[in-house]
Amino acid sequence: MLGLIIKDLLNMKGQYIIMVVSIVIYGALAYSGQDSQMLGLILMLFAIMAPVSSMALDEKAKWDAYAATMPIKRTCLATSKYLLALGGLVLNMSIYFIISLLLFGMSVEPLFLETMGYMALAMVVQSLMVPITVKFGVEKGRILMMLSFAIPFGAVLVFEKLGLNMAIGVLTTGHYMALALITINLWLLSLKVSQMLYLKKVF
Amino acid sequence: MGDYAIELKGISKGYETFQLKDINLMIPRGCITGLIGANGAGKSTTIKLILDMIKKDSGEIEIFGQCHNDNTLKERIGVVLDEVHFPEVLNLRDVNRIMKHVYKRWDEKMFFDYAEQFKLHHKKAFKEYSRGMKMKLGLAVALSHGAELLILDEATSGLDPIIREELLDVFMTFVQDERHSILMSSHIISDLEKVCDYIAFMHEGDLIFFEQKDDLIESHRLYKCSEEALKALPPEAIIGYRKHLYGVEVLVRDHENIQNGVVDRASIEDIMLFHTKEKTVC
Repeated sequence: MLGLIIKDLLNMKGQYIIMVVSIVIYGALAYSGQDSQMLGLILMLFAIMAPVSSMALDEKAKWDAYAATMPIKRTCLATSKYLLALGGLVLNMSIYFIISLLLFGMSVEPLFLETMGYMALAMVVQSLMVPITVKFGVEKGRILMMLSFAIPFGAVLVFEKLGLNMAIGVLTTGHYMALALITINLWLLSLKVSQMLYLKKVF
Repeated sequence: MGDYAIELKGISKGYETFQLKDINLMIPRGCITGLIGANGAGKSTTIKLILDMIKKDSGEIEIFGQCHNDNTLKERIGVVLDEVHFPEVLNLRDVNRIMKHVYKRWDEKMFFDYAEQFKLHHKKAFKEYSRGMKMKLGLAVALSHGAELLILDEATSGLDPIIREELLDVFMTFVQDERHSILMSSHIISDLEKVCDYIAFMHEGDLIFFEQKDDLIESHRLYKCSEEALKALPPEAIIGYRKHLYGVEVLVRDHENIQNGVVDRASIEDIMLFHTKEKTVC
């Protein structure tokens, strides 16, 4: 498992500079417009793209066929993508939280809830994207990826139209807890589906 | 410890346009076995079945006496496929960082020793390697985790004779340890003639023969004669024949009493080709 995660992190090393530059640019734009949500969205999108980008690189190299000759359980091929996704999400949302706290002067509790909201949205999209990409490949999965990007943007627009901030709304703590549980269970179900797909794959 | 590195018993695998039919093959330990056959004969399918990359329809496969789909067996198997599938931005050092967390018996020193022997640059990205360098990297990985069995699927295809010779030397050194075995498929018959102990020939999903290389070469003769002389040959001795403008070429087996013609030693390539030719004389 660790070998696979190291492989993914090393494989994506060409993208880190692009991500850092993008974060700086969008951070500057967000700061000038005094709207942290732009930064939150871009960090969320990078996190969403991480497992699929890694799978695209694997597909290009036909890595999975080679990995099948190694003492790597097939379920680990799936699990490593989800761990990569989760790690990227936690990292990016931590960056967002710290920057928003320091530069935008947001309060901790609403910022925390907003960050959790981004994480939940990202996890929902990943839960759909990863098994679809495992099953159909990156090219066909890409079309669905474009559609799925509409989900977080659409959700933010709807909330704005309704005059609801992502963090401050009519939802209670209980609602947030329930949404968190649903998101986690969906994510775990997605992991199971991806593991089963890898078990059935032929190379 | 059993006598066989790989045992295939009654293996069948069907596709829409191809069928691997009831393959029974016992690959001995401590030997190099060559797997030959035309494109589409079933060599790669057989190798993928052994490695559990595809599922068999029926039969049993054992490696070192254990069921082949036991994942821990792959610690003992080094694999080089027809292409080496490392992500293109990785370099040799990255490969080492990855593999030491994949294989329990990864030997970092041995890996870098092979890299030195094969003159592989440590920091060059994989995409900048030539085909020969990529195969050498794949072989360095296959040899650096205590493997007892090497499985090579067209690993020397597309390489120049100098690099092929270098790799063949490595294979010969590998099997000097009698616990080590190699199964290699190749179209380059001359390579197999140099290093193999056994030859398995597949054709259209069937295993046509599996024999010791020396016995195979000794027992076959290529006979150039007239059509009349061809008709005089015992049918059971004829493997196949090919008609030319001025006569006939016949591959015969275990038949020494040849008259009125020219007799040559048959190469493995001749044996392979003539097995696919007509054998019934009309």
